[in-house]
Amino acid sequence: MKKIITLTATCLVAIAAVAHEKADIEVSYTASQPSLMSGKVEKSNQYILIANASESKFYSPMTEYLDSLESTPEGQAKYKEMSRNAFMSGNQDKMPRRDGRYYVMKSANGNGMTTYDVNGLEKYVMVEPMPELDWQITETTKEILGYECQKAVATFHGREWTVWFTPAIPIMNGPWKLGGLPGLILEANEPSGLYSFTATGIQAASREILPVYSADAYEPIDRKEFLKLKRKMADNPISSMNAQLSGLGISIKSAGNAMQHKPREEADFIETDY
Amino acid sequence: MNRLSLILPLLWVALTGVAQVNVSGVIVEEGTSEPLIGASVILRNAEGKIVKYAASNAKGEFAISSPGGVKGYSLDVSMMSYAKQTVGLDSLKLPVRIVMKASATMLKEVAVKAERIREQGDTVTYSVGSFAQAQDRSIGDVLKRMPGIDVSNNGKIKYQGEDINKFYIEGSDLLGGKYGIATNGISHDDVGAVEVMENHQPMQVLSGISFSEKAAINLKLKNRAKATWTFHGDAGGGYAWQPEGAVWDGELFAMAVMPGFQNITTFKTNNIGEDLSAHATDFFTSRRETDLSRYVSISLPGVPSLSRKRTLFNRSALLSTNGLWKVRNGELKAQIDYSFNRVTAQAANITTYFLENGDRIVTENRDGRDRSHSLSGRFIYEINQKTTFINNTLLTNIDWDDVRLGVKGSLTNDQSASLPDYYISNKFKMIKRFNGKHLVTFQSNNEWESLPQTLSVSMMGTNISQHIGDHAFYTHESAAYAFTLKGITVSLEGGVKGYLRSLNTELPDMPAEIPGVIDEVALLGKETENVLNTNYLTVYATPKFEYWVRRVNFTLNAPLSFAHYRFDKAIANRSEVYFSPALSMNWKPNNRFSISARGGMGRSPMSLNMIQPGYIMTDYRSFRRGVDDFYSSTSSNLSASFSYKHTRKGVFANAMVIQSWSHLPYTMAQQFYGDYIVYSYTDAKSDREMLMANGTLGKTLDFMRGSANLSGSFSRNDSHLISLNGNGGGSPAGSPVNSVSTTWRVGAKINGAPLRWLSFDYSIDFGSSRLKMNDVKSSPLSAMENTMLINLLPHSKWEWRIMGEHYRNELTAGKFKNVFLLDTKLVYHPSKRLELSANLSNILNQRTYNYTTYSQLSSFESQRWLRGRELLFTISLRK
Repeated sequence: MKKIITLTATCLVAIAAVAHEKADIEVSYTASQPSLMSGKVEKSNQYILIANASESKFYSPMTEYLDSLESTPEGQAKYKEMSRNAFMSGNQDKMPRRDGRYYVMKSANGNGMTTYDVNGLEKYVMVEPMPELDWQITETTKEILGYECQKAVATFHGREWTVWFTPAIPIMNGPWKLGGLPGLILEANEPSGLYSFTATGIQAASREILPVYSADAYEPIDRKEFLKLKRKMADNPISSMNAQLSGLGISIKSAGNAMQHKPREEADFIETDY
Repeated sequence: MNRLSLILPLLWVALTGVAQVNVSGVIVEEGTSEPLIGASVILRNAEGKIVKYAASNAKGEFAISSPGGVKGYSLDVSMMSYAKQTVGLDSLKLPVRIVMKASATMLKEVAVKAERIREQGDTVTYSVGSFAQAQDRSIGDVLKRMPGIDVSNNGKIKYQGEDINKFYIEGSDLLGGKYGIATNGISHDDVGAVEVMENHQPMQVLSGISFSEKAAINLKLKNRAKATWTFHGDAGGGYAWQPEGAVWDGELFAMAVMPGFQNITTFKTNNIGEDLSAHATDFFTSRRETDLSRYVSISLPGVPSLSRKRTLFNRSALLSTNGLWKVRNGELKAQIDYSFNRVTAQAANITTYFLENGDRIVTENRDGRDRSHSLSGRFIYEINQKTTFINNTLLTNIDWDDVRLGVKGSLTNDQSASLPDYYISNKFKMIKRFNGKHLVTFQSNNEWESLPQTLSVSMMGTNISQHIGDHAFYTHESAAYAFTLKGITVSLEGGVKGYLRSLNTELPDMPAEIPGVIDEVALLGKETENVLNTNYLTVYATPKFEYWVRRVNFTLNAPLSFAHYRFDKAIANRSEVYFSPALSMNWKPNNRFSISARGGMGRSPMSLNMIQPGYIMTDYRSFRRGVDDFYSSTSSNLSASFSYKHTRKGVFANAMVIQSWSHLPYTMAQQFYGDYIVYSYTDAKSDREMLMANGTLGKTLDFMRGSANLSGSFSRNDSHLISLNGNGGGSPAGSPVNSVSTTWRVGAKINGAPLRWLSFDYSIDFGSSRLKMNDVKSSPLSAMENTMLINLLPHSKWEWRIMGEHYRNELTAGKFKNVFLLDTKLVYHPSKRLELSANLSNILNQRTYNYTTYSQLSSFESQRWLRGRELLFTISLRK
């Protein structure tokens, strides 16, 4: 086990050191997810997939922009100034806000799939091998963004995903952790309707696939452990927050049931196999 | 671990059935034989259905087991940037070796919306790649397509209807107001994003204290254009049918953007009708306080309502070098420009002057040449910090302008003028901020200008030569203190302005037709000479109150000044008090809306160059005399503007309305003596009223990576003027003229790339104007202009462009003149660095253009010449 961690660490360092791969394509997706308080889809996030045949990154541009700012002292100052100006002007619209929180980096060159995510204030990184989904390809087709897409179905980490992929774009990738079909996935949804991804734009790209900003700040964790921690936070937010904030000498008092989340049966995470 | 990933593709395949065949092989790149990783391999049955699929591994290998044999089956191998391969498996030996040919994968692109326009706080970011079309070259071409941004024909940029206040490249203000050099020079390929910073306060000391309604633009360069020199150059040559002869067009552009140093150097030259002066115009320049203006006004005929490129017969060259060095905590900038412009023009005109007792008609055939050189140097040192702002700007400018104009017709003559201009100024400003609340400002401006003018006219065998000497020195020293607390800023500025000017003119002779001059020889000198000084000293105080809290800003400005004028007995000396308060308000309820209102009133002195007791000849048949008394005019104005934007939807809109009133105690009068006109001022009151409104609506069209824009404007001018008619003697008889002119215009623009191989630009403009004099209405005259550009990409290395322009101008009521101009261009890009093109403009070889226009008291009918057919071959290189 130790060996594998060392190996992975070496690989990660190696990736950071080498020249970054250039993407061939850039695809924007609208991702929906439920609010764990209402159990309904209330807002959507904007994500971008930049990919070539072997490497890819799935991220929210706004989140990346703010993360990039926070990674340097000058940027932090600018970020603080932006927040302060927004606060001073009393204009909440101007408050810089992160969009979709996670990053998924996929690599077909043996580095597997790396997910960066947050739970409250804590940042975690999870490394998994490239998933092997048992896709059932059907003959049903529909057109998305002018591309003829074929339907395929597979179960992945607890949810049954229905996706639409197009062989016309030979990139075996897709939104979030989905991929492995002989063509790019342009749409994905699951039966509860809480989680979905829909492509909104496709462009040729030539920019580099850069690593995540401040990658060292993320603590390695096992995927299922992370999901369990998140569940704990959802079920008991006040005490989890206080545990996280205790190091800063801050504590929050319960404000009735203002932070009451729906039980797991009604609104769970995108992965339910924990 | 590695081995596992090798076997992985094999695991995609489940082992079932009996007649199982293992399809395996290797995928390599053509030429290099390097294995290709991540290629998609699809096994299809006879009906074309996907049976199995796999991806090539790190060695380029793949393996698929086909459960039902391979009869009629085929393999599809595809990968981005390679041509797709389809191979039948019936007669194939396994393992198969598949060689992939490099080829651009043509994507049906749908713009990635999330990134086209992004908004963060007060900054709106436009992605350049998503607005650029194949026909664009410079970043200026792309800025024109961004909704919310408006680039006028001379290159001036507006954001939401307001002029921008700064233009940065990677956060540094290299060019100041001469940003046309950057917008016309920097290739859009080198720019990643255009950032618009709304309510931008360029002086850090004033941030949070003084509100700015204006926005700034920042170009974010791509990494490859940073920390290195980038170059590009064009050289073109060809043949023109009118004026017959050789044509050329060339450009060299070099740019360095480094952390401590920036430089842009450019050289351009052409004779194909491109006016280079716009490229080095300073759009931020303030009015020269030396306040000199030329008395001599002979200008070449121009052509309104037709693109200047069609009518300009020029030979132009521009050399500009601009450097910026970061020195400790400040910046040092040097900008040096030299331009040369030789313009020739011809025109046949009929001018009709509307007079009470019958119109007066003058015919003219004009043929002129204007040769001008301009050399300017600007040296700036600036410290821009949170507590200190220091700026010292030294500007020197020398212009030489020689104009020759020959006229044949009612008054055959030949005029030539030498009009040099020498100007030097130094402006110093320092602001210090103490304890975050106190601001102290010192300013010192000194300007000197000399504007000598020589006009020689030879007419009917006689020669008249007039020389004018006009010098001025202006100095302005001021200090200000401001205090800010909880969003309220109160400031008081006080200062002194001093002005010394001397005018020296002499006219050797006057036409006999003008009465009261020649009769008394003793007085001739007095009538034809001006030797005088016009000086003033002003002491002023400007209290300013600014209230800025949450989303509202109020500013009240109330300058009060006392001025003492001395006129060397030309007219009586005078002391005056001026008070011009102004109030403005801005409300920004959220990031989308902004509403402003402004109002002001006040008195202002007349221009001192109106003091001139003797005659001055302004051209071969016009003479000017000055005022007898000192006048101050009063004016007031009200304006309101609104802007709206929704960046996610790509919608930008703005509208503005201004109403102003002015009252002048004097009126300009024109009086005819034979073929001569004398302009003078009479002691009659004149009132003017102006209403102006305009609006713009822009929207991105994401489905075709394009944008659309609608705009409209309206203006109405009411004025009250005296027209005098003298018939060679007696007291001038005159009657007031009330004139009302109304003009309106609507326009629409659309551009996009609906297909991979097609992009287009289309614009239409329709305008109409009408003049009403003393309740006699002239019929409205309209003008319509359509322009269309279609760019075809039949192949990745070829482009073919077709451009058409159509003008439909109303000459007189119901009578239209149509002009249709057609151009085409063929472009070949053998590589990313090289471009070859052939351009054929004005294919139909249209050579003339006729039109009529109205000024306040006259109508003007003319025939002008167009640039004829022109063929130009160009080679462009870039690093």
